[in-house]
Amino acid sequence: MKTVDMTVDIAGVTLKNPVVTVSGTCGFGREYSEYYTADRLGAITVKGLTLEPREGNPTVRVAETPSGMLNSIGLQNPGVDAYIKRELPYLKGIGATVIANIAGNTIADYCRMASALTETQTDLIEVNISCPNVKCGGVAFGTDPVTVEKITAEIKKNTSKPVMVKLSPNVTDIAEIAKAAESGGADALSLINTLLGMRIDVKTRKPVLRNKVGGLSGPAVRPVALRMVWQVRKATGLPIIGMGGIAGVEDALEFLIAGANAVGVGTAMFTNPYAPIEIIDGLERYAAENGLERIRELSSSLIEE
Amino acid sequence: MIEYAQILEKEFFCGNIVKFVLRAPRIASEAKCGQYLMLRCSGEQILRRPISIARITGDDLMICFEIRGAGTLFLSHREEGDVLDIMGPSGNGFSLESAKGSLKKSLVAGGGLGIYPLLQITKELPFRCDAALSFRSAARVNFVAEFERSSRVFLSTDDGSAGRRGSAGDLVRELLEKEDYAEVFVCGPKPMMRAVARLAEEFGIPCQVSLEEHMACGVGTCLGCVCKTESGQRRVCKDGPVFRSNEVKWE
Repeated sequence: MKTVDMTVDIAGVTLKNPVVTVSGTCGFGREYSEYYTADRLGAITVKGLTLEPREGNPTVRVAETPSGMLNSIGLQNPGVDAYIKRELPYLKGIGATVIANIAGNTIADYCRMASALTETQTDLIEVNISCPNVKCGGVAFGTDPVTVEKITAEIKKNTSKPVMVKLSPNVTDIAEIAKAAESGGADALSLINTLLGMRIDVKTRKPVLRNKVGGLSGPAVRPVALRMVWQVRKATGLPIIGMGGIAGVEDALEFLIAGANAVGVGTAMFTNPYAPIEIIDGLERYAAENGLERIRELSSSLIEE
Repeated sequence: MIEYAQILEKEFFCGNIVKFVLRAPRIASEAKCGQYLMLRCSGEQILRRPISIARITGDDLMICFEIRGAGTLFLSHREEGDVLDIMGPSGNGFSLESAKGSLKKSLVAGGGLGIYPLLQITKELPFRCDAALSFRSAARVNFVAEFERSSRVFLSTDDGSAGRRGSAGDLVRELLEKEDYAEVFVCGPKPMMRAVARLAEEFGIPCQVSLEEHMACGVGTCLGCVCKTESGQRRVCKDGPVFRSNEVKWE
């Protein structure tokens, strides 16, 4: 069996395979290391970083839903400096490709973090625009195309690292947001972030999450995520990392065929820590069985009448 | 690690509590007292359920859980011979060196569904433990015979229908007044653990508690299960579930 070239290119960064782990689901790569180390992945996306360390929301912060879960962790993280000093050296020491996810309260926060990451070995910066913009009454940055274009442009001014904008699905027209990020100079796009959802405890008549609402992830969101990847691919030629409920190789194939260049695996790891590895192996097998020399040939191979 | 474990024994208590003995040699060889397992349920339930290990015997792990929702209902339908997908051993476990090295007895205090992780302590300190087991009523009393095989058991129920009448706190106070214990190990509903922690502090005895919190990943990455301690926020799934009682910020 001829070896398949499993590499993909995202904004000039070569990933050894098209499977990355998603921000918030794998910490900084240490906890799952008893199963496999992060260098086996196309890339690891670390927990969302903020300028200062954050404690996050009060518990209860997680709840199960049918084929999914809600989270309202609230961006608990040790801060961008701790990532640079402590976490990044560990990941680079084991040979991982690292995507740093950044989240800010204000555009200035994003710029300062992007600037701080420039002289580091971080491979890609992923911009989380699903956070509330405190200067605009807490409305998420990522729901307004004008803000998305502006934030992307400002971040690009402050770093030479490739900038990937992570799109929020809680919008009317995802293609419009994708085009705004592209106009702002985005080098790549990742989608989707979580959908907004809630659960209520019928015994107490209170919301299950202390924060009342949270982000929905897992297989339940997959058809929405897939549809959005398909729509965004029709709107732009930028590299896309597609994510949202991907748990096995068939799911990953759907996203690649629809237009993603790589896929992200997140919630699935809670059920099965080996999910990303099984997907990598499954994609290689699929490519070999279907006579593909390079996995990249699969991207955007959807047949539409 | 992930292991596929066959159910060797299945038993019901009090109508809705299930006991399984699982054959899990790889996890059992590494399991420590106070650790737990993350059990995979049916397809629609993507989150594993955390269930304490009650007893480690060679290749076998004993677990007990109440049927509470869809996940535990699914598990309760599995039969002897079925195979479960389990992840573990998880968490930090109880620290027994001090208790083992002491000439004094230790006290394990369990409330309701919290009694199970304490059983293994009594097996590692055979007849060097008193077990204070507290239930709501006689109808909820279970597992006492297991404890009696390795410890001296004191029973209480809230309504006095079995054992002493009163709360876990009342029972523990009575015992602390009579005996000089090396250490107290507690597991149960949060108010019960807080009450016993306060008693341990009052009597100047070190105390370890096993906390519970809604979990998702069970390995320490998602940060869903944090609790507040004197040293800052900690993950119940990985830094715990066992904490020193004076470290916990009881709200």
